Amino acid sequence: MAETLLTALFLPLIAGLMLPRRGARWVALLVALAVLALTAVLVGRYAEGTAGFAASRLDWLGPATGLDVRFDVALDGLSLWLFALTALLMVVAVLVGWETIQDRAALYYRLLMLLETGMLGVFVARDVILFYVFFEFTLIPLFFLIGIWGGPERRRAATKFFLFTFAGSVLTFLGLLAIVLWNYDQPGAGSAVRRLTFSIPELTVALRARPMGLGLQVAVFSALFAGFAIKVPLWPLHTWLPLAHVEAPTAGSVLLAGVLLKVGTYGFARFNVAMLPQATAALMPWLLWLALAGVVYGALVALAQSDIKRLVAYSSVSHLGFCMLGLFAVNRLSVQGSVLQMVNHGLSTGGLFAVVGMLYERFHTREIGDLGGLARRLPRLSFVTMLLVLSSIALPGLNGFAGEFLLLLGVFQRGWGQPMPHDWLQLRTIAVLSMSGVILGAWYMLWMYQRVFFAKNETSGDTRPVRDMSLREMLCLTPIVVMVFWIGLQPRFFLDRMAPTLNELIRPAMEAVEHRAERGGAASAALKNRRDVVVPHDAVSDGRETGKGWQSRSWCNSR
Amino acid sequence: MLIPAMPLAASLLTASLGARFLRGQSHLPVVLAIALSFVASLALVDQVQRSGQGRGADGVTFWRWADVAQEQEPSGSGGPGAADLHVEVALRADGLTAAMLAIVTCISTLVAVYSIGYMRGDPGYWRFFSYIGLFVFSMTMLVSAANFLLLYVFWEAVGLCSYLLIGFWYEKPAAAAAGKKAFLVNRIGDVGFALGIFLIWTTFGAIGFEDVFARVGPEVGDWRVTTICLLLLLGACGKSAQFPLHVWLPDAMEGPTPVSALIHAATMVTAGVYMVARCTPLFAASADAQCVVALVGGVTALLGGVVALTQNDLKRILAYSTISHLGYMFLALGAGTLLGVTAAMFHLMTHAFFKALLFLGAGSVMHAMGGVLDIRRVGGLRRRMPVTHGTFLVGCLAIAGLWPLSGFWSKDAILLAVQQRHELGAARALFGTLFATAMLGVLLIDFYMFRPYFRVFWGAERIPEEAGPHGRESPRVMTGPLVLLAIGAAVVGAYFAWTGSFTRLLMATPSLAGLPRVGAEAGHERIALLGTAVTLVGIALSAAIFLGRPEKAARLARVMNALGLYSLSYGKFFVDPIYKALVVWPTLATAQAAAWLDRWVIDGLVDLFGWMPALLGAALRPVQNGLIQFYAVAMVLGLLAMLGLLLM
Repeated sequence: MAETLLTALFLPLIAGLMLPRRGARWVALLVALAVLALTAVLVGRYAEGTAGFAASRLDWLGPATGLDVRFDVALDGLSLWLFALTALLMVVAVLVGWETIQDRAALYYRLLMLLETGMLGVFVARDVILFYVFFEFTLIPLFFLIGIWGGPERRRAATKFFLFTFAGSVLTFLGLLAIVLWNYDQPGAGSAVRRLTFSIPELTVALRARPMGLGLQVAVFSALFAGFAIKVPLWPLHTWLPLAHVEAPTAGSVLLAGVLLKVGTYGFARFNVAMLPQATAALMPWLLWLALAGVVYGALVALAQSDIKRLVAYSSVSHLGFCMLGLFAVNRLSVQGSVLQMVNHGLSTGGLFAVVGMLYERFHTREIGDLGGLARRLPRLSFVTMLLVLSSIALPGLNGFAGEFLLLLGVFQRGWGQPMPHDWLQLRTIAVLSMSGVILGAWYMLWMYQRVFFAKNETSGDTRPVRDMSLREMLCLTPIVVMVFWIGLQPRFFLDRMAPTLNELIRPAMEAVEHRAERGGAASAALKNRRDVVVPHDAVSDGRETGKGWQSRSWCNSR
Repeated sequence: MLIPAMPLAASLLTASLGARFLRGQSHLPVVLAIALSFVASLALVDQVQRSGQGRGADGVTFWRWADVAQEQEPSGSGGPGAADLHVEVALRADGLTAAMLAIVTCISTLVAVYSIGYMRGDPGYWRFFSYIGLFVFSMTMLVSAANFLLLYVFWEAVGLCSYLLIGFWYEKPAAAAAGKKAFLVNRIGDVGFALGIFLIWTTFGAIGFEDVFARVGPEVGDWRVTTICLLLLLGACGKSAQFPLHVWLPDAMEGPTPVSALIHAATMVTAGVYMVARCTPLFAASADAQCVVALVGGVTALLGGVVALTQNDLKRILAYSTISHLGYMFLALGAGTLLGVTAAMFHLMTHAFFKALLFLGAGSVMHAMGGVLDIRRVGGLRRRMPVTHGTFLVGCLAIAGLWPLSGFWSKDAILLAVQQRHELGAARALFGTLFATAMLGVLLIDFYMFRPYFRVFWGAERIPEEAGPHGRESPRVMTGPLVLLAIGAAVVGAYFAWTGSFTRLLMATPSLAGLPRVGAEAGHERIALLGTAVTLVGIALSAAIFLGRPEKAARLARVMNALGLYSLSYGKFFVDPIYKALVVWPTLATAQAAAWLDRWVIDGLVDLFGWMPALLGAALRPVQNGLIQFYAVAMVLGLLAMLGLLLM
C-alpha cells in the first residue's frame, strides 16, 4: 500500500514538472483520474493501524545527527477522507476550466498538478518539517493561479491571500518548533541518544505522557492558532477569503474552498487538539464563541451579498464555523461530525463554485440582479445547483445533514451532558445560538436560488438561447453528486473509518475538559455549601470567568 | 414494506424518463404505484388490527445510518453521561402508523387521479407527478419511521416536496417567494424539532421511539420533559401551521390546487398532529406542555376561523379553515386523554376527506373559471357545474359538522374530550375557556364556509372573462374523485364512530396504551345536541345573510368595520407585516450592517496592518539620505548616547 500512496502523492508532481505543452489538459485529467483511482484503492483497503496506513518513511538527516527530520507519510482516519476529497475535487478542478483556460494553458495545468501534490502532502505528512513544507508549498501554485488567471483585481487578491496566510503560518512554524524543542528539553525524552524528533506521532505520544504547563500550552496554542485560524478562516481573520475567491479562477475557488480551508481545520485537529489538550479545554468557550461568531456573521454577510461568488464565499465562513464548533466541542460525536462536515463542505461548496463558474462562462456576470429565470433556460444546471444548495443547507438524506446533525448533537452533549460543566450556561447558549446558522443558511441559499433560477428577470431582457450543461460539465459534477448522496444515505461507511483515529486523537482533550468540568462543579458545590469558609480564589468559577480561572490556575497546574 | 418503496420507484422513473418519453402519460406509473400502496396499507391495517393490542410493533431495519461509540474508560468518574449513538434506517408499523398510512395513500390516490385532468397540458406535467411520487414516499416514510432522526429526515423531506410543489410554477414570482417562505418558516419549526431531538438524546441517551418512551419517568426532571415537549411542539407548529408559525400556509396556495388539497390540507400539514400523537408518552409526562398544546390549538382554531370570514380568495378561505381545523386537532391532543388523542386522529381522518374534497371542488371551479378564484367575481354556478356543486355542498355540510356527516362525529369527539379534561380537574379554567372557544369556532365554521358556498354557487350567474367559453363542468377524471371523496366525507365518520374500529386500530399502538381513560360518556348527548344546534343556527344565519340581498352583508361588514374587527380579520391580524417588521427587516438590516462592517472595518484593519511595513518604510526613508555628514552626526550622537547610558 505504501507504493500506492507514494505514487498518488508524487504522480502529480512529476506530471507537473513534465507536462507537455500540447494536450496538457488531457494529461492533467489522466493524472487526476489516476490519483483518484489510487485513492479509491487506498480507501478500499484502509485498515486502522498504530503506525498509520500505507506508511513509508525515509530518514533525511538521520537520528544519528540528533536532528531527526524524516520523510514520513501515512494515512489515518483523520487524513483519509481529506486525502480522498482532494483527489476527487482535483478531477472537478481540471474539468471545470477545460475550455476557459486558453492563455498559457500548460503552465496552468502544471500549477494545478503541483498544487495537488502539495495538498495531498499536507494531509499525509507525519513529520513536522514535512508538514510545514507541504503546508507552505500549497501557497505558491495558488498564488500564481489567482495572480495570472484571476479576475480584474487578481494581483491585489493574490498578494493579500499570500501575505495574510504566510504571516500566520510563520507564527505557526514558531509554535511547531516550540513543541519540538520543549519535547527535546524534557528529561528522559527519547532514547539514549538525545535527538530532536520531528515525528508527529512521537510528539503526540510524548506530549500526552508529559503535558506542557498550561501557560506554555496556551502560548503555543496561540502561535499555532495564528496560522491555522487564518487558513480556516476563523472570524475575524476571514477577510482575505471573499477577495481571493471572487478573483480566483473557478478551479482555484473550488480547490481553495474545497481543500485548502481544510488544511487549517486539519492543523487544529492534528496539533492543537491532539497535542495541547489542556489549553484546548481551557480555551474551549472562547474558541466556541469565535466559531459561533463565524457561523452567524458569515451567514448574515452572505445574506447581504449581491455577487453569487461572494455569497458562496461567505457561506464558507459560516460552514467552517460549524466545523470549528464541532472540533472545539471535543467529544466524539461532534468531532466525527466536524470531520465529516469538512468533507461535506468541500463537496457542496466546491460544487457550488464550479456551478458559479459555469454561469459566469455563459452570462459573464455573477451579479444576482443580472440573472433570473434560469430554471427554464438551463434545466439541468438548475437541477444540479438545487441539489448542491440543498446539500449545503443540510437537507436530510444529503451529506450536509449527516455532518451537521452529528456535530450539533455533540455540541449539545457538551452543554447538557454529565458531568455538568461549570460553564454550562455559556455552552448551552452557544449550542442554541448555533442553530440560527441553520435557519440563516437556508435563507440566503434559497433566496439566491429563487432570484437566480426562478422568477423571470424582466430587466435584462436577455433571452438568447444558452447551452445547457455539456457532457464535460456533467462529468465534472458527477463525482460530487454521487458523494453527496452516498454520505447522506450512509455516513456510517465514512464514520467507521475515521472513528478510531479521532477517538484516540481527542481523548486527552476530552479528559481535560471533563476534568475541568468536575473541578468547576466541585468548586461551585463547595462555594454553595460553605459560604462562611474562605474559598481559594482560583476555585471561584463563575461560568463567565473561565478566563480568570485558567490564568490564576495556570502556572501550577497539571504536570 | 412496499408502501413507501413503490411511490419512490415510480417517482424516480417518472423523473428520469418523464421529460423525454412519457410526457402525457407521466401519471401512469405514479398513480398506479400510489394506488398499490393504498391497497398495501389496507392490508397492513388489517394485519395490525388482527395482531391486536399488546404485541410489539413490527419493524424492518434497512441499514445502519451511523454508529458512534462513546464508551468511556472506567477511570472516568463521569458516569454514564454519554451513551452510544446508533441510528438505524428502520421502519415499524403499529396502529397509529397504519391509520396514517391508509389515510395518506387513500387521499393521495384520489388526488393523483384528479390531477390527471387538472394538470393536463402543463409543460411540467412529468415534473408534477414525480414530485407527487416523491411526496407520497416521504410522507409514508415519515409516518413509519422508527426513530426521531428518521422522522426528522422525512419531516424535512416532505417540507422539500412542499417547497418544490408550491414553487411549481416558479416563473410566478409570488409562487417562488411563497415556496421560500414556506421552507424558511418550516425551518424555524424544524430547528425547534431538532433542538428537541438533541435534548431527547442528551436526556434519554436514545432516539428510537420505543427506547425513549420506555425511559420517560419521574426521575427525568419535569422541566426537562416540558422543554422537550415545547420544542417538539414548535416543530409541529411549523409543519402544521399553528399559531405563531401559520403564516406560510395561506401563501402556499400559490401552488397547483391538487397540491393544496393533498399536501396543504389533507396530509403533510397533519404531520405535526401525528408527531405530537406519536410522542404522547412525552406529553403525558408534562401537564404544562399539554396545556400549551391545547392553548396553541385553541388560539389557532379561533384565529383561523376569524380570518377565514373575510377573505375573498376561495383557496385562502380554505387555507385558513385548514389552519383552524388543525387547531382543533391540537386542542384535542392537548386534552391528553385517550379520547383526546383518538379524537384528534379521528378528526385528522375526516378532515382529510372533507378538506381534500373542498379543495378539489375549488380546483374544479378554478379550472372552469380560467383560474379565477375571487368569490366576488364568480357566482351562480350551481347549474353549470352540478357535480362540483353537489360535492362541494357535501363538503361544506361535513366540515360544518352536521349530523350524520363525518365532521359531526370527529368534532363531537373533540368537544367531548375537552369537556372531559375540563371536568378532570387540572387547569379547569383553561379547558373551560377552550371549550367555549371551540364552540364559538363551530359557529365560525358555518359562516366562513357557507359564505363562499352561497357566493359561488347561488345568486346571479357571474362568470369572469378569463373563463372564456369553457365555463362548464370539469372532465370525468376530475369529478370522479370528487364524488368518491364526497361519499367518504359523508360516511367515514358515521362508519367508524358506530363500529369503533378506528379507535381499536389506534389502541393497537403500544405507546398509547398508558393514557388515562375516562369511561363515562356522561353529558355526551348534551354536547352533541349543543354542537348541532350551534351548527344549524350558523347555517341558517349565514343563509339569511349571504343568500339575501347583498346590502345586508355589506351592512354587516360596515358594522364590523366600525368595530375594527373587519379590518383585523381581513388583514389576517397583521401577523405578516408584524413579522416583516420585527424579524425580516431587522435581519436584513443587520446583514447589510455586517457586510459593511466586514468590508470597511474588519478588512480595513487588516489592510491597515498590511500597510504598516510600507508606512514604516516611508517614515524611515529620509534617514537613508546618502549624506555622509548626516551619518557621521548620527554616529557621534549615538556614541554619545551610549556613553551617557554607560556612565549613568
